[in-house]
Amino acid sequence: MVVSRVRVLGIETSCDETAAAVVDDGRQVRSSVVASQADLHARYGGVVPEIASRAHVELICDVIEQALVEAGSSLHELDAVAAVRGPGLAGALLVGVSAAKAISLASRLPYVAVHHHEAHLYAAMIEDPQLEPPLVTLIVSGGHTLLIAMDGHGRYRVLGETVDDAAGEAFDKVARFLGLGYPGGPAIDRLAREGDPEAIRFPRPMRAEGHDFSFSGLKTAVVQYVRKHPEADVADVAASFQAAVVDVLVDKLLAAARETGIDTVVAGGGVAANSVLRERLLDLAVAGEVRVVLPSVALCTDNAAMVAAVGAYRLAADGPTPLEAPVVPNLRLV
Amino acid sequence: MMEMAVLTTKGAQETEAIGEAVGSQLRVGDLVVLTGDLGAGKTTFAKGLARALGVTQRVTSPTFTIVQEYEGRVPVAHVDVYRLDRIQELHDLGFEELLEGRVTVVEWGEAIALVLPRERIDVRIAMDGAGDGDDDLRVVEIVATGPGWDDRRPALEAALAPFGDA
Repeated sequence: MVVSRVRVLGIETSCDETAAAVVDDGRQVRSSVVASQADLHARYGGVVPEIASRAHVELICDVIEQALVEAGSSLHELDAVAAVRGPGLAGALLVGVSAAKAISLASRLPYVAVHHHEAHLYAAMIEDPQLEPPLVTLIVSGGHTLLIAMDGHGRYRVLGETVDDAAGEAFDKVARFLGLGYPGGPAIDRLAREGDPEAIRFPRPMRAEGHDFSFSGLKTAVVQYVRKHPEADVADVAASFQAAVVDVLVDKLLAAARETGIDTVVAGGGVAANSVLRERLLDLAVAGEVRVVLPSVALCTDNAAMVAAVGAYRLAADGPTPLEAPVVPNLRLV
Repeated sequence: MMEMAVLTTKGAQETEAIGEAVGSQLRVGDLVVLTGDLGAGKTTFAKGLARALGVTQRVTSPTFTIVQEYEGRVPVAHVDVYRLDRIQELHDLGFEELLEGRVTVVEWGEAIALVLPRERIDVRIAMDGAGDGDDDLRVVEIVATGPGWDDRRPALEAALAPFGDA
C-alpha cells in the first residue's frame, strides 16, 4: 500500500507520555516530541490517572507547537491530524483526542482516530520503510501483552494475550516490591546487568502452552522467593526474573511465527526496549530463524510518530473519522 | 453481626473457587473489597467471583486501566485503587455511579475503606507469612458487614461451608 504526499500530525496521550509528531507519507519522520511524565508518577510506583490527565493538559499545546517547529511545518501544510482514541486511560486519551479535534475544526483538517496497538505495529514500518505485511508482532508494555498477526494493512488476528498481568506490569510490580522505583522496566534492566540470570530458576508460565501469556504467577514466585531468602542478592533476583520474562516472550513470538508461517517478526511497546529481550531477538535474526524488525527504543516506547504513520494509512483506507467519535478506553484491535 | 469466615486454601484454584462461591451470592449493587499483598491472589479471587456472575470474558489485572468492566448475568466492575492518590480521584472515576448497576470488586480497597459503603464484603487474603511452609497456602478471611447482609449471611456461610470452618 502506497501512501504518498501526505503530511500528518500525530498526537498520543493514552498513558503517561505526552507526544506529538509530524510524519510524511506514513514513514518519514520530520519531528517527534515526547514529554515523559515518569518523574511525576515515580513516587506512586505507577501511573496515577488524575495526575496523568492534568499533566497532559499542561503539556499538550507546547508539545504540539514543538513538533510543528521541529518539522518546519505550519498547520496549513498538514493534510490530517491523528490521535489515539484507545486503548488507554479515559481522561488521558481525552486530552489528545480533544486537541486533535480542535485543530481539525480550526484548521479544516481531516481528523483520524487511531488504535494504540496498531500504531505500535506501524512503528516498525518507520524503522524499515520497505517493510510490508505479513508480520507477527509482539506488543509488550505496562498495560498490554499481545501477539498479533498482521496479514495485510488493517487485517489483524490477535493470536494471544495475557490471561492476567501485562509483562510490563510484572516488571513494575516486581520493581516496586524490590524497592527499585518506577518505571520498573528500566530499573530492573539496569540492575540485572550486575546479576546472574541463572542464579534463581523462576517459573516460565505457559511457556509452551498456546499463544497466551501469564505473568501473575511469576510475580508471586519472586515475592515468595525473596520472603524466604531475604539475603538474596537483589541484582540476581532482578536478572533471574527478567530472564524468565524474556524466555517466555521470545519463545512465544517464535512459536507464533512458525505456526502462522510468517517469517518476519516485529516487537513494540515499552518492554521491547528491554536490552536482554532486544539481544535475544537479534540473536534469532542472526541465527536465521526469522527476520526481525526491531524499532529503535524511542519508537518502541509510546510516541506520536507511530500515530501519525498509522494515521496516514487509516486516512487512505477509511477516510476521516467523524468528530463525534468518542475515546474508547478498552478499544479492541479486532 | 460480624462473624468471619476464615478459610485456608492450598492454591490458586481453591482461591478462585472461594471467589466463585462468594460470587454466587451476589447481586446488583453489592460491593466486595479485596485486600492482600502483591501475589496473594486478589485477581485470582476476582476471576472466580466474576465467573459465578456469568462473566465469560477473560478477567485480567485492572492495574493499568484502574477499572475493567465485564458483562455477565450481572455486570461486574473490577477496580484497582492502589495508585489512586486522593479520595477525590475515586469520585472522578464515577465510583458512586459504578456501584449502582453492577457488582463491584475493589482491589487494594483498604486505603479507601473509610469512604466505602458499610454494606459490603471484605475479603482479606494473607500469604503464608513465615515463609517456611507451602508457598501456595493462603488464609482467606471473609466478613459481610452492614444490615443488608443480616438476612443474606446464612446463605453466604452455606456457600462457603464446603471450604472449611465457615
